[in-house]
Amino acid sequence: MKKILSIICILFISVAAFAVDIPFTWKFNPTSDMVTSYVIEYARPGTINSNFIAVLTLSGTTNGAIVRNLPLGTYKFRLIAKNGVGSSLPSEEISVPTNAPTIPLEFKITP
Amino acid sequence: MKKLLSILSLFVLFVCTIRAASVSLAWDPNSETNLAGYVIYYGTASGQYSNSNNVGNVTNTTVSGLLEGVTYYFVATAYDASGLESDPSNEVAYQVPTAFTPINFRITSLVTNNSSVKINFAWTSSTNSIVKIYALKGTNGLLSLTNVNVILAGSYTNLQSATVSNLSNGTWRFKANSLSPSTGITSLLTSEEPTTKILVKPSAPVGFKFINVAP
Repeated sequence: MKKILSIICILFISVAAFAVDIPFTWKFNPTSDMVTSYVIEYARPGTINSNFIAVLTLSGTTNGAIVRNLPLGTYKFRLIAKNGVGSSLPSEEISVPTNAPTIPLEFKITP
Repeated sequence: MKKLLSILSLFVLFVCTIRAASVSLAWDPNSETNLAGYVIYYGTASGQYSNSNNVGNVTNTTVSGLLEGVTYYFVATAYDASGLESDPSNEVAYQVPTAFTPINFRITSLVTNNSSVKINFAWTSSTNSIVKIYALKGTNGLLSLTNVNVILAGSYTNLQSATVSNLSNGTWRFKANSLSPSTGITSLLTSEEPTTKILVKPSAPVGFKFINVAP
């Protein structure tokens, strides 16, 4: 049992050590929107109710960015535009798989 | 020639109806058997006629395209089948009526919510006039009827105020005029030109996508 536990710990650290960079693009909002910044938000794997948080804030003159060093997993991303009045509604959400291992199945304590 | 002139001396101006700055003219018919038609000459100075209409062999016509508030001078000549033209008739003058331009045209309030701005206007105009509000985006260029990139859809009858919305972000200038339904005359644009900046929240971004995943 001790041996198995130590192997699992090693595997976990190894997987956590992997990270990905994810490049995004989008279309500029119409000039009349007077966008001052774009915000990329993401929901972490396993987040209940897709609780999005900001991961990157970019200039309104930017239409591309790379989100770096994300631990492996499947994330949902969306984009929000901001101007002097406030934030837009979010863009459509996109799911980005990052080659994470599949979920262990039949996980249980064996006699 | 003299005979034609004498008959045309009976040239009379009838203002039958005035619609959209036009005037109706009428005269007595000539009696020559070879008469071919009449020409109406007119201009904005007495004795100087920069425009002409060959109206054919009729005894009335309507001259349109006249400018509000301007006085026009008209004469008529007759011509026969051989192309001989009479001397001009007596001259008649007609001043195109003016319509009452709204005054004290102004923005009274600006109500901004998340996605649109409502602008409330007020003015003073004559009773029963139909007021139209015009808008030009940007700070450059003369706001005239030939230079408006948005004519707000509403026309406001018997109202002394109005609300407009759904204008895109930017600086907007406004003017108004009024139409008198009884005369068909449209007034000049207001001298007042209220200006306001409009800014609402941006639209949702589109085309958001990831390019690839590189572990």
